[in-house]
Amino acid sequence: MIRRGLREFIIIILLAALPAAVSGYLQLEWRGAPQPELQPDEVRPGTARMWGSHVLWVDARSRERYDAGHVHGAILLNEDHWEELVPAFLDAWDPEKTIVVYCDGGKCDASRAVATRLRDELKLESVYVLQGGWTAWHEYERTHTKK
Amino acid sequence: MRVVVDDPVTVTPALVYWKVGEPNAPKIVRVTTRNPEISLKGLVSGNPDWSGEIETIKPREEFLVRIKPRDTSAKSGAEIKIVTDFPPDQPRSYVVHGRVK
Amino acid sequence: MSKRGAITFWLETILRCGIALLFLYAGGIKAFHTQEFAYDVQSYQLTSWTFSILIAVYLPWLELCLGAAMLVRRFYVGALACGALLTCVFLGAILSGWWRKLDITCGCFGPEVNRTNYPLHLTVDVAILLTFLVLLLTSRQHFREGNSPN
Repeated sequence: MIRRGLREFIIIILLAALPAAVSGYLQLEWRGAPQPELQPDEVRPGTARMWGSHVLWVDARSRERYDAGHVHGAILLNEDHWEELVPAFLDAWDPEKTIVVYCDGGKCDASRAVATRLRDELKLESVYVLQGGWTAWHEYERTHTKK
Repeated sequence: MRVVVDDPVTVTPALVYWKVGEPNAPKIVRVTTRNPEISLKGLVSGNPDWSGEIETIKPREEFLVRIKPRDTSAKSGAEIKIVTDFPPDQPRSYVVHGRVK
Repeated sequence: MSKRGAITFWLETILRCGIALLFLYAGGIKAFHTQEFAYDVQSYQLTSWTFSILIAVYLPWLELCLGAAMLVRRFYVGALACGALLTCVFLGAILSGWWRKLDITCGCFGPEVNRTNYPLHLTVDVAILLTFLVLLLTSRQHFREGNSPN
């Protein structure tokens, strides 16, 4: 039974490869590797990079994740320690700068929650969420940084 | 799982700011309470150069807090606590952030 | 068929079809949203972006093939073994994300908005893995009795 199972295992692995190859070719090449639709309050890593020093980065993750690595110059501000962290954020804040909030991945809600509080409670304008989060930014930096 | 507890006191906005050189006219923060047991007792400023005063619009329901820095010639900031009298054993405070930028 | 045999038969059928439909759904919902799924894979921070794309292209079709194979009982034992292995990989990824306190979405059943509920997803994956093990055991029983699982 083991030999038969192994044979069938390999057959299934190979069977899946053909439609996957076709699907990958159609989706990634024909559409030119489309990016997920950008929400009105989102910004892509490339755009945020272009804004350069006009951005105030806000890291909405935990202190541990922030300490492990964050966007250069980012201020830690998360919901779990909001009252404690807001004063330091406001000390760094500049009304002329655009705020970009990020968390770990593409669809984590921490960055969106922090962005909402910045708009609703502090009445700050020009607040965006980084599409793809820290993951996308890290990947963007890795592929676009000259060595 | 996140549990959201509705706060009976709303402070809006939680940030008031002036640009350097802007006239230091007071800016208004509106405080509303949904619990008739709550009243505002006073303000505590973390920076002596910042002050505020409370105006009652509707007792135990709506208040205006006027906050201003002493001057706006340089950057400064303060955290101003709005002190309430509720709950009686451990009264809560709400923070308004003031900045000159 | 004895009463016990009938119960076993129906239990196995329900488990088999349930798991098959689950994998067909999981694969179908992701097969044509490669880019979004790639982001979800990448958010676990276990693979490079290129590898995340490859996984995003291939994995949904593997799930579809597994689901179909289990439903029609062709290449059945291989499908069960493959499904069990896949579920172990999912478990490992989720445990890794939980350990590192990643604020991400699972991506298991297509695009999601809310943060992953780690305990819930772990429970579901353990249940799926146990189902695969039960089905593997019953197919082994059939094999010993001389009845082909196909």
